[in-house]
Amino acid sequence: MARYILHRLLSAIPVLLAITLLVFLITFLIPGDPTYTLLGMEVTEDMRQALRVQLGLDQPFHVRYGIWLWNVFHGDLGRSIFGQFKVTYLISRALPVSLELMALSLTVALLIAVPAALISAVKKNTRVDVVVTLAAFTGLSLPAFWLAIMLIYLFAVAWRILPASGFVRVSENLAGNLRTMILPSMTLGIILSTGLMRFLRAGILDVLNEDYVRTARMKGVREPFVLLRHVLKNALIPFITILGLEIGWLLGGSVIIENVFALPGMGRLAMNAILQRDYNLVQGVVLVLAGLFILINLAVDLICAVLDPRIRLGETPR
Amino acid sequence: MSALSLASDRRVPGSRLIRWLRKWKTFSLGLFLTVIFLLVTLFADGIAPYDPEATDYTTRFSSPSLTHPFSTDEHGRDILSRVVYGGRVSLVVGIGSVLLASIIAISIGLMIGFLGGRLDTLVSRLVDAFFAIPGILWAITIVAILGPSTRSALIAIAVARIPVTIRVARASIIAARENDYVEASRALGSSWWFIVFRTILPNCAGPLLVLVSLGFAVAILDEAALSYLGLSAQPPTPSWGNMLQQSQRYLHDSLWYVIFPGLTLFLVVLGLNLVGDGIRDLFDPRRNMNRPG
Repeated sequence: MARYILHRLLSAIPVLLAITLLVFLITFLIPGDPTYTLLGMEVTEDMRQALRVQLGLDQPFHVRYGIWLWNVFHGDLGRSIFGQFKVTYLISRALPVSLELMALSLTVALLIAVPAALISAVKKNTRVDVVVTLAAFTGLSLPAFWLAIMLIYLFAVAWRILPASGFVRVSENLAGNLRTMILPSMTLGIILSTGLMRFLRAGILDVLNEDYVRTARMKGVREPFVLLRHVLKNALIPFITILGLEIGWLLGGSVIIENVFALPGMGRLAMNAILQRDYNLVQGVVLVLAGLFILINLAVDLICAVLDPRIRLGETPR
Repeated sequence: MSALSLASDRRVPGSRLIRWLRKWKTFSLGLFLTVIFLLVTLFADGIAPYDPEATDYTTRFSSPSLTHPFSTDEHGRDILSRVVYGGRVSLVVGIGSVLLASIIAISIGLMIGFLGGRLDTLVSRLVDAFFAIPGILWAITIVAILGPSTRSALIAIAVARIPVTIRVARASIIAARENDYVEASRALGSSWWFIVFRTILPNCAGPLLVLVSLGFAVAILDEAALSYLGLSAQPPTPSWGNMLQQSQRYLHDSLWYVIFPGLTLFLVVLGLNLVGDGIRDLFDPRRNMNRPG
């Protein structure tokens, strides 16, 4: 087991390095000179040049990449070119918002997907199954931001029970915070659940035909226990792998949903930083998001290895 | 014996109908929606009852009526006409980005899959890294580089789609290159170019075709999202996404403004997904989630 963990950790390193290179490349690709946004049009070229030297923009690519990487390893992502805030500070404000949104969305998604998939698989080819299958397929084609606007209409305009947008920090008011998070996490949760449902239903159907399920039933194990202990547990391993990938979708989806609901999370921070050509901030935010994705998938692999001994034995190198 | 194991064998009234519906109705429905979308978009000039950019402040936010079946927006513009013309942006970006991404990614995927070695490792690692960054951030970056426009959105969505296409192309060529006919072609002295494009490509066309066909739906959804964020087609040119962005501001004035562009987008994407799913079943019946038995 220790060997497997070590192997997975080591194999994540080249990917992480490649990510830092890509992230750094992004800011090289964004055109425009930040000195124009910082100093305006009415300054001399000398002053511009001085600022470029101060920001290190006059150095060649590999030097800038090297310095930046060195600082990243020391936990220093630089300062936002605009607000004079440290990038780490801005991220520390935005990351909890996005993490909360993702955690709540995932909870909503699982609360919908697991029971629905279980019922649908057990009652295969009945009307319930058809309804669930159709709903799952519909969700695949549903634009997240459209669902969001419709929910805003229902809950904020027609019934006036939830705010249409905005955000309250947990530290200020927990109830207020949850009120602002309900609609965003419902939107992402509903759409995420439809993708998960399809996979889980197929997984459960596979397991239902296994010999050990028949054996358990013949032993006289009661049906709810068979479903939870034998069927669901075994259907969970491929499902968790899919879950890791779907969280990648969630990261992307939250960028749009944070913009729909004006939530001050990582997605909104990233979009504004890119549009304002705030180099350091773009690098920092994208790096953290990508690192998060790698970490989540690493965690998923490890969870699968814990759940299924075949994985850690089969994939251990030599 | 519980009722459960019987459930899979029991013939529920209407289950034959359900099976038939699944096999054919969904694909035909998808094809129907797709053809309607294509026809309406291609003949937009003849179908749209009004000029999509013509304003009329005497009929702001009218309810759906015979003169304006999809109602009117904040400038009194006919929403039906704007939805019809908005389809153009979706169609152009959908087809353009999928073709662009497919040509680039399939070439790269086939090459690294066939040649293997260090190049393969390097590109695969880069693709892994690419994957870790949400596609929407790549798309926003590309738009920031090129400036917001329909053309930028097309390129941005293509770029965001390249990694997944490289993966599928690489995987399918690796599966196909072990075949005897590849060995035979090599023994005959064919160049690697000939082997890849004339011998292997036709034999791994199935998964690639599935990927491409499902790609249209994804691309159209992505375009709408970029439009919604103000990064694709610029007003007054209508696109479904930028109409929805406006409609959110006027939620208190008109619900129809949200419903019609969104419903159209949903139905078109649903149609494309159904067609893509049908094609997938054709090539790989095992992956059909509604498998019988």
